[in-house]
Amino acid sequence: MADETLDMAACLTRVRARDEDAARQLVAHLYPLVIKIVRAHLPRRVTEEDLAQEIFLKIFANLDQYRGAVPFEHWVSRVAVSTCLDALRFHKRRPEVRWADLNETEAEVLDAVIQTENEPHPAHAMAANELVGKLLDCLSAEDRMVIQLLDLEEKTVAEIQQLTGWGASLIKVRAFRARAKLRQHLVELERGKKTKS
Amino acid sequence: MSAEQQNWDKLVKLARQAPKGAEPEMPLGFATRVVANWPKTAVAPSLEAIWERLSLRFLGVAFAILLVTAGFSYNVIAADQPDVVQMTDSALGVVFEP
Repeated sequence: MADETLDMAACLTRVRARDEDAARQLVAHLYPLVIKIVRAHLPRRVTEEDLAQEIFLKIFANLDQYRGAVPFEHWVSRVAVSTCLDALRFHKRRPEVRWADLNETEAEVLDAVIQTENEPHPAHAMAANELVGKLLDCLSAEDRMVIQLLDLEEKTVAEIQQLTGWGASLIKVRAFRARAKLRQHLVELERGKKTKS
Repeated sequence: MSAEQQNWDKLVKLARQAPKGAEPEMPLGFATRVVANWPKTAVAPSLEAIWERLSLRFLGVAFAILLVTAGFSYNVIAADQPDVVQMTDSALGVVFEP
C-alpha cells in the first residue's frame, strides 16, 4: 500500500546511504505508479513482477543521477517507460493478426466496429481492449508506445515528450505512421474474414 | 476521415472503456525481493562524476610533474647567470646602437 505521508526527500537521502528499510518504503510507495506503467506496456511472455523489479533496480542504480529538477515521481515514470520500451524492443513483434487468432468475443467486436455505423456496446470493452493489444503487438516498440500513450491513455504530446524524451514532431510522425499500419492490419483482418466466410 | 480510420477510432474508444481492474496490490515480499537484489546492481557513475574524478587526478599528476621538473632544474634556476645577461646585452647593443 502506498504511503501518502512519505517524506520523499528524507527517504531518498536514506536510500542513497543504502538504508534498506527506506528502500523498502520507497518501493511500497512507488509500486502503484510503476505497476500501472508496466501493465500498460507489458510485452507478451514477460511477467509484470519481473519487469517491475527491473525498473526498481534501475531506479536504485541510477538514483545519483536524480537532481531534483522534476518531481521524483516524474523521474520514476520516465525510468519505467524507458525500461518498458527496452523490454518491448527485446521481444519480437507479432508479424500479423489473422481472423483465426481472434477469439469469439473479439471477432464479434470487430464485426460490430466494421459493420455498424453506431458505437459498439460498452459491454464489449474488455474484448476490444484485448483486440487492440493484439494489434499493437504487430507494431515496433516505439510505435506501440506512442499509440498506447496517445490513443489509449489519451496523454498529450507534451506529456509523452516528458515521459519518453522524444521531440514533438517525432511523436506526431510516429503516431501517423503507426495509425496507418494499424488501419492496414484492420483491412487485412477484414479481408481474412471475408476469405474465411 | 477514411472508413478504416473511423473503425480504428471506434475500436480504441471502446477499448478505453475497459475496466481498469482493482487498485494494484503489491505482491507479498516484493519490496524485500527488490532490496535483496539491490547490492547486485552496479552503480553507474554519472559522466559528471567521472570527469570530476579524472580532472582531479590529472591536476595531481601535473603538479607532481611540475615539482619533479623544478627539482631537476633547481641548479639552473638558482645559479647566477652573468654570461647569459652579458650576451643578451651585447646582442641588444648590436641591434639598437648602430
